[in-house]
Amino acid sequence: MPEGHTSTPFHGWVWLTWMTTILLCVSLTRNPLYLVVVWLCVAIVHAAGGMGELAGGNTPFPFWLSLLVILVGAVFNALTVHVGERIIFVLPGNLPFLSGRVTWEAVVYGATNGIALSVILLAFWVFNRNVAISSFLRMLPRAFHSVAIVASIAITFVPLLQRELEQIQEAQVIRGNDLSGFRNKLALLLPLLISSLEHAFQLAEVMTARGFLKSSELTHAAIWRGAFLGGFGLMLGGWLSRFWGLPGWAANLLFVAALAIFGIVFLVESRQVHFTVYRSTRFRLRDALAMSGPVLLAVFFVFHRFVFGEQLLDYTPYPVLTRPPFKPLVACLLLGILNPFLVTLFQSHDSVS
Amino acid sequence: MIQFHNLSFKYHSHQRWVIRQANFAIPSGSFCLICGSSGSGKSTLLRLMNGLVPHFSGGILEGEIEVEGLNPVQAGPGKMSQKVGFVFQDPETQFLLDCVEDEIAFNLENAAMPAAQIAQRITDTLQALGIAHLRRRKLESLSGGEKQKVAIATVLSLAPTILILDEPTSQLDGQSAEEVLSLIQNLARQRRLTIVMAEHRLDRLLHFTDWLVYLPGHGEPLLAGEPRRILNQMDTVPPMVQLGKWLGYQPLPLSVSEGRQMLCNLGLDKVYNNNRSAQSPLVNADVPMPVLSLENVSVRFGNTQAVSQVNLQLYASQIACLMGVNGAGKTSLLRAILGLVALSEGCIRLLSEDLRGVPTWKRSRLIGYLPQDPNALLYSETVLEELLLTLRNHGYPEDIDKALGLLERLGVSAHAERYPRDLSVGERQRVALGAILITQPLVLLLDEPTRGLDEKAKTNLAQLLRSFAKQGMSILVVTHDVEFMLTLADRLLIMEKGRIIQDGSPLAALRQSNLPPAQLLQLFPDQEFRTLDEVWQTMGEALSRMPDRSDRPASLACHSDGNRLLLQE
Repeated sequence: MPEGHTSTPFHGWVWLTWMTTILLCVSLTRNPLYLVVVWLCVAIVHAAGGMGELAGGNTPFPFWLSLLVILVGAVFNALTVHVGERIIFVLPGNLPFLSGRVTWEAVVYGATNGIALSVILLAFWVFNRNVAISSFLRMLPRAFHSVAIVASIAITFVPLLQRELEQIQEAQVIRGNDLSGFRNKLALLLPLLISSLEHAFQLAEVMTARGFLKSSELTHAAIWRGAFLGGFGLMLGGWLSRFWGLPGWAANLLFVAALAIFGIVFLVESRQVHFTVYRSTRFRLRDALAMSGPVLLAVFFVFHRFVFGEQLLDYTPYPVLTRPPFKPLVACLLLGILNPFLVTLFQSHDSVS
Repeated sequence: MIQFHNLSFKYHSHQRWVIRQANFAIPSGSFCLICGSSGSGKSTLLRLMNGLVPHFSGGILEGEIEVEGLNPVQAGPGKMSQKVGFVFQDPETQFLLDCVEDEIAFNLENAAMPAAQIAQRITDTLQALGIAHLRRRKLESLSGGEKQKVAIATVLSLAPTILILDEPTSQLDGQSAEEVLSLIQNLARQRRLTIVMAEHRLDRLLHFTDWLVYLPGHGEPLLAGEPRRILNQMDTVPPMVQLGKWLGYQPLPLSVSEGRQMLCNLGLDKVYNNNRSAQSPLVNADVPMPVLSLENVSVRFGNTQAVSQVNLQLYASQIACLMGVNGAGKTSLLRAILGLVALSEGCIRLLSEDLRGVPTWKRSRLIGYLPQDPNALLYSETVLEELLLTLRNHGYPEDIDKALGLLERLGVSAHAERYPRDLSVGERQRVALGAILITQPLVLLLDEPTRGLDEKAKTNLAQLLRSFAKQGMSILVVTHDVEFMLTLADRLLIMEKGRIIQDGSPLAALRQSNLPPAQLLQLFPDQEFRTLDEVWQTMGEALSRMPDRSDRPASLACHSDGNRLLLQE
């Protein structure tokens, strides 16, 4: 494929499911061994992009960032959480938050959180590189069209700001600022803020000139907001009714009424937003195959957490550091994250043969 | 049809009317060019036509405006967008999505057009603009010129009856600007579209302009009408028109062919330039040692050889211009000199000192660098503070008198307490220049300094640079602007594929290159006129040598004040 051309090997829903499953895994387990497996799977999918197996892998993820996040997580937790029995050393004195024993348990827990955060960063990076903004916009329901446009603006702003920051850094250096210390680096913030605001203003002008700010949409937005507030009011009433001693059916009635309002507003709003979809991507068999692994994993994690409890996935190094459990079945299911890579790999082999 | 009825407008923050008593009409299907110096109100006038002003900006408006039967002030920009397409200056900030096809489709999707129709509309628009090959390209991979063409395509896809372009080439380099201007010329010829465009490069557009609007600025009423009539009343006009005005020739020539015809009719087509050898030396004999010396300099980005084995010596008081097509390595060379990119080979010496290992911030004391966008350098609260900040960065004492003196010399001392980003493009550039010159560098590097400047600002910049060179500064200017180069340079370097392929006197090097010739060189192909003043001087001499004035093909008489000639009917 020629350089600079777009490609969409998988349907947007595949990547959305993939991303959601990873977030689910990260939020439901703190077992460092499983998290490392997840991190490796995501890294392989990302690297596959770099090898040309998947779209958009041309900008490599800065892997040093993962190490930094893990390191910062471990050090921060070790210095601020003085729990655990395997003591490394004791910080003397009365330093607020810092003084006390520094334990291996706290180091491991902090590093585990760091791995989880690193997985999220890496997964978002892969998602961003593989899902075109237009696909993202088209995945969202009509009622959220204006929200989608705002999201797309935010996404397009990121590379723009990155370029702006590079320009400002350069401008500072050619005016004699060596940017060595923290104070010198602060000089980048104000110009970045000024140019961001200027860009925002220009973009708003462009959007207005293109006719995106129409009075009818504004009216709908007001109705939308009003109805939403009403719905939330009913929900809040339902929740508070328990404290007032009202019967359970009354609370449930309020909840159902709130949901009904949300549903009606959603439908009405969807009908009033007029736009067409130019390129609706077909959901193919390969999309289903790529999606199957993450879906199976998500179902397993949710099922286990809410049906069988927490034994299989949970781990905590406190109060005494022990070896985290490692079930091969869970590890095999985690490999489902690799599905987009595997499907592309087998397909490219088929096409070559 | 666009009609202004005694329209005046001013912003709330301004005391003076930006537009005063505009009373004119632009006929449907015509090409209207709007000109005037930076800050004269061109953008405001354009934004009045689609309602962005006053809806977006606020302000006080008197009189009326009517665009295709609608009043933009009442209708608002949302409704006007169905009739008026608007292309902005900066192509970078006009896009929402990441792919060309999706960007164009986005507008049409929002107009609820059926998918099949969208596909056809995209194909038609891209083909009409000659950019069908960009359809599936990512926007970030496009050049500035290509991005601006896509911005035009995005607007045209909605089939407006009026296309407004606000200095669409001001943020582009010379080559990209040429591409966009050619595209607009084709559009004007092929489509029955009313095109209203604000632009500084009048020489490229005048010959197919139906209607010219000139904003003198400073709150003076604008002039609008047939181009030749308005040009007669304007101070700053392209060289060809200026020559016609000096010769008192009517109708004024608007293109090179009309210019040749004028010279032929006046019997001046055979004038000979006697001063052609008066070129500045390539090597300054008084100072044998070069100030800046590049020895086998190469720069590599991954697999791309951006600069290859460049040898260059720059002497004190010398102004060298560096030209070449996009991607030739010009900007990379400047950045390498300053240490912003690493050398893969070779070395750079300032006087006799090897700059290897010297960081950019230290180099910048003695090597000033003005990047393409001067805005990037401006972020202090006042103009004066910009200069003092540079002094502080370099550890020099804050010498306010010195800073004010430099601002005076740059012609912006009146704005010392103003916010720099509120100034016009030319003024901002001079402030940025002040911010790098306050350390009195030995060498000055400028990257595309004429981008977005009007003729007057360009002339001022050339004068300023010459005055700095006279004081011993070595100046290296990257530019695509041939006219500017000819008025400024002692020496011309031409780069191609990372190498310097020509190095010599400007006219000689230009003749041996593939670069587009300046208007004067097209008008006098066998002569070596660099500026209009040279032409005028030679013509004056030629006319004074003519024995019998009555023998001349057209009756000319020398005018006593300033060699002005009058055509006697």
